[in-house]
Amino acid sequence: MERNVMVVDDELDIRVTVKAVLGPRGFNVMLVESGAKCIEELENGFKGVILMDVMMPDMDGWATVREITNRGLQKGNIISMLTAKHEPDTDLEELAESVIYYVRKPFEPNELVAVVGEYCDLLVEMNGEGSND
Amino acid sequence: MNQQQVDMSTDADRLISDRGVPTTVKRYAPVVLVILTGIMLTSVSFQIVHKSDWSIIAAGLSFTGLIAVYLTMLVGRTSAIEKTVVNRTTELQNEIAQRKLAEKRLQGKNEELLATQDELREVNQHLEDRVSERTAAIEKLLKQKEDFVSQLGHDLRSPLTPLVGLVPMLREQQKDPESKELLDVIARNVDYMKHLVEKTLQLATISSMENASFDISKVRLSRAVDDLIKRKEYQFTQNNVTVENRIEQDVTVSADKLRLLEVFDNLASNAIKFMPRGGNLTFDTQVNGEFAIVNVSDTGIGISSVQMGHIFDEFYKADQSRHDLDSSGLGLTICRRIVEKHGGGIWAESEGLGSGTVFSFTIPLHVRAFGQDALCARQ
Repeated sequence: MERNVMVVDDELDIRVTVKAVLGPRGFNVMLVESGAKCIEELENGFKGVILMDVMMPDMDGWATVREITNRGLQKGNIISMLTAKHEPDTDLEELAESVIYYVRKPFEPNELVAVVGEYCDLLVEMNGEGSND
Repeated sequence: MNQQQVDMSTDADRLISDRGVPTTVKRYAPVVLVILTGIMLTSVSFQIVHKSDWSIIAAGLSFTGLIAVYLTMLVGRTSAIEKTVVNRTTELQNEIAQRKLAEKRLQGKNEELLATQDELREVNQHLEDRVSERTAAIEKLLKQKEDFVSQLGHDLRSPLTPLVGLVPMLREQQKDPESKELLDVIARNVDYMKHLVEKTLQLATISSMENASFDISKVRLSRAVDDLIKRKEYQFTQNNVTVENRIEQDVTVSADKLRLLEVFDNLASNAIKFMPRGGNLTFDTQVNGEFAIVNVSDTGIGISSVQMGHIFDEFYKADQSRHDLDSSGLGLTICRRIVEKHGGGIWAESEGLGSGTVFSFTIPLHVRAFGQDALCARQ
């Protein structure tokens, strides 16, 4: 199964960095610059791991997750927040069912590869269980 | 009132006994009375004598004399009493006037006191309002500080992300040894900046945290140290450090476990750094009243007495040239802040350079609820 990753971040440098780290390690990396674009790609049928920046203009990361959940688009995907905040966000508690973890900025390249790899494996497992049902 | 009457008669008696009968009365009243009584009695006696004899006349005259003396004294006494009554009445009137005056003054004072009380109430209310305003202002400032730290964290970490992510990749891809060396320099400095930013934000976060924000729970100290040893196993092995956990199993403390682990982590990292040729790191504890004293002992290079006075200061580095890129100078400051926020204290002891160091800190023991001892012992 393809290891799809969507990076949702308004900062170009972050998007380029994630792609540079994950691209050569066998991940298909899609880059979008806003929550609205992310929802658009999900509506178009994207399935995979979503690395969602928290602080974005217009629609921030948490608002985007809420919209994704409201539209039922989180099914078959894993959403992980990509954040530069030090302390856990209270929104994480509210949206714990939709969001599985934080990836903190700045991240070590190997650390990012390992974490996203785990998510992809988990996604395969989840989808496998889903198809058995 | 009865008491006054008693006092007045006592005074009249005293006046009589002290001064005797007033001169005018003494002088004239007996004479007048004796003459009048004598004439009256003599007249009566003569009528009787006319009928009987002279002995009866003599008796009448003696009786007349006695009555005269008695009357004289009675008049004197009455006059003294009247005078005393007049004096006492005057005194009482004066006293009443004075009392009325005092009452009036008292009333004035009462009114002043009531006015002062009102003023005080107003001042108190004003102070309470000011305290509320100041509290609200402080809360607002704390919130601003928290937001500032959060925003600063975001703004410092974000530009570090491409550096931390891309520099190691470029270094790996680089074949030219000279370029690789230059990228090593960049990588080391990027790591240092990342470390410094993390520690600075960690300190700012802990400092602005209210004590109530700590997630206090029962923590088994020996287990927390075991967790730390597992987490840092690689570093201990790489640096030839032998670790021993001598903390007894039953010592439990009330602490925020993650923050406590930060203290252990910082102290262990510090010990590793100052044991460049390897050595022993020992964790043990003693119970002292309501606190556990945790000792973290190393066999490293030790601390000089000059350094000892500064090691918990912000941004203090043992390397005074400040070229040490492995240290932010904040690790021990963070330890102190965390320990103090738990109500404990932290200190270090060293026999001097080359003699190793013992870092000790106190942390409140977990208070067992009644009947929980047996349960805790089994856990």
